Amino acid sequence: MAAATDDAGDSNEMIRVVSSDGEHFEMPEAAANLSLVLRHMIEDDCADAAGIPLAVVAAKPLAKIVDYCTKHAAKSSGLTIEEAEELKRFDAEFIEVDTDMLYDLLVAADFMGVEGLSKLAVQRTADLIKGKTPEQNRETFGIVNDFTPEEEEEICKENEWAFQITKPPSRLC
Amino acid sequence: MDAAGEEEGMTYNEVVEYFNSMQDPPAQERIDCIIPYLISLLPAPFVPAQPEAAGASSDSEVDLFSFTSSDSEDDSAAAVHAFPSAPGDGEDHISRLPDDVLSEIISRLSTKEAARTMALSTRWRGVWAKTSLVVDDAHLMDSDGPRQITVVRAISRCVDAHPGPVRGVRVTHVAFYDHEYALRRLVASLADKNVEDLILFNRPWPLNMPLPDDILRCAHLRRLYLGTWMFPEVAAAACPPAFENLRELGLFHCIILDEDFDALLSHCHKLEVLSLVMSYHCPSRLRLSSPSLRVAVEWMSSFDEVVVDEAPCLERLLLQSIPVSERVLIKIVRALRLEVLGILDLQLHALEIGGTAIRAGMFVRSSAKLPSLKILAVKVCLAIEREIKLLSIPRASPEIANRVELWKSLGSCECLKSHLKTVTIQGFRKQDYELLCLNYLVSEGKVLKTVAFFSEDHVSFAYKDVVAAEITLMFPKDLAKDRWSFQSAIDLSLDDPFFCSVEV
Repeated sequence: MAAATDDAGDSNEMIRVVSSDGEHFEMPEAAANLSLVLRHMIEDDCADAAGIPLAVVAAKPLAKIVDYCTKHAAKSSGLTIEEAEELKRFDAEFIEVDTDMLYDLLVAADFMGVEGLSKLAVQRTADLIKGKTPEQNRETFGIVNDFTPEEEEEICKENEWAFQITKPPSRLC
Repeated sequence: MDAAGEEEGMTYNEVVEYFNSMQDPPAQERIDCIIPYLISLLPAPFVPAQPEAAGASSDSEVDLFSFTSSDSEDDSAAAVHAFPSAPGDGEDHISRLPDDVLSEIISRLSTKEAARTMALSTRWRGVWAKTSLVVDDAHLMDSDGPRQITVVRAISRCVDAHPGPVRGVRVTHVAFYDHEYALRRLVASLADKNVEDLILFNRPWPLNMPLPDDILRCAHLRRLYLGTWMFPEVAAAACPPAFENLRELGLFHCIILDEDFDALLSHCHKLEVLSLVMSYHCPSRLRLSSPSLRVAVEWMSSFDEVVVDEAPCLERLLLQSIPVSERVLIKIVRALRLEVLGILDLQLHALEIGGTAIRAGMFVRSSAKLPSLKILAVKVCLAIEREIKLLSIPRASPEIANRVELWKSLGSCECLKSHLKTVTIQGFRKQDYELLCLNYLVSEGKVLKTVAFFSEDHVSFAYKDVVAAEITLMFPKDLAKDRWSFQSAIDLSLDDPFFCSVEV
């Protein structure tokens, strides 16, 4: 709702943010408002020409987040079915990233309080985990296996119900 | 099932008799249709069972990440194939994410896959235990068909392995008849592990499988849907039900005695949404007395009476009654905030408000009115004079056979003069008697703004037909769309459970 009025009124109001590695970015106020942290800063009049410093967000993910917020702010209220579909497609393409970027987005969205993006990144991570063996998942995400072989076997044995697959019968861990 | 029936006495025999009395289709076929129907009415699963439905964000990727990749003999090759994006720098970033983010990720996985994250590393093992457990037996079914023992065992093992709390459990595929001990243990563990949301169905036969008493100990329940059980005794129970947090309760095809139901309801102090679906014969009298209840739904049950005794918060009384030979009494004693009432079937229901039976042509005292009512849905046959009169509740109505005269004779009423703004007509067939009714509504409805209707074939009615019948019709501002369903009935977020307005 706030986004709609901003769009109609002073849509030129741009908010500056600075990444942890010193790069400057600009986005409309409506876009910045999608971040809980930025919204509070704006409300507290902390948004000035120097830009809001974001200590834990590097330039690469920040560029993506600015992109995400700008797109979503422009289409925040009164979506038609087509627009909602388009936004869905945008999200789908947006989150097609490698695991490093996915990790950066998870951290940054969590830190900046961008709820929609957090959900998107969490769902993407879950989708990547789905349908894989633990070994495959370790490989995908670079997870270090710190179990002893005995411990690992014990977990699989204790939770046999979760590790059983009937077609075809195969060893999973 | 016969043996069990003898033990349980009257009520169960009644139900079985009811089933057996149906020649076509026979009881087995009937129950085979009923159970999937009941399950289709339930709230949506926490996590969809099929990966296809999981995320719109990765539609195109679904095939790549499906189980087929694990069939590959060479795991590393499969992983590379499954994840074609640029490789990372080899560091374990993801495990450094805060617990709550990892928990969020795990909570979006199916029951099995969530548990499998335990085997990733010590870090992940700890996070699974800290993530509120979600169990869905659809996730535990074998791909080659249901094998009851495995599913029951998997459910029990899963709940046993987790320290709790249990956020949600959805069990709809299990016939518990051969697993009574497992059932008792399961319900006891769920009570111990503070289950918040429980959907528990028994697949018949029998229809009177006893639900363990421990269900009454589940004090953290906020939502509870039970299907095809014999409900435990409540009125005579040593410990009263501990449902102090329960907001939503649905009893589907459950056998519960009137006094047990009354006792149950009296212990649910926060209950807002109550639904009784396909309750056969018992309870025979649905008595609603609750300080918190906002929506009560009777869906395809056969009660003799529905009584709203004292329900100060009740906003909706919704009925989807099945025709029975005896008239069903709908008795509203006190419901000061009742806004939506329906579907009243004038052939089936008899209405009594504030102690006064509503009859055609009567003078209605204020005690027999429902001033808070905003939406009334009525099933009426306009070809039947008694129903016309009941519907309009006019001041005087002399016996006149001629229907045109009948409508004329009705005069007007307060409702039409100053309240009725919207009329939505379903099943309009453009018959003479229907047009007469419409004519009456339009000419007497002084504040009527919108008339929306559907012909038999769901095509909105053409104005010119109305004009041809010399009816001055106010043009509808917006046409309404039918949405009456069980889901809309229990959905408090909807303004109108029957219809939604759409832009013209």
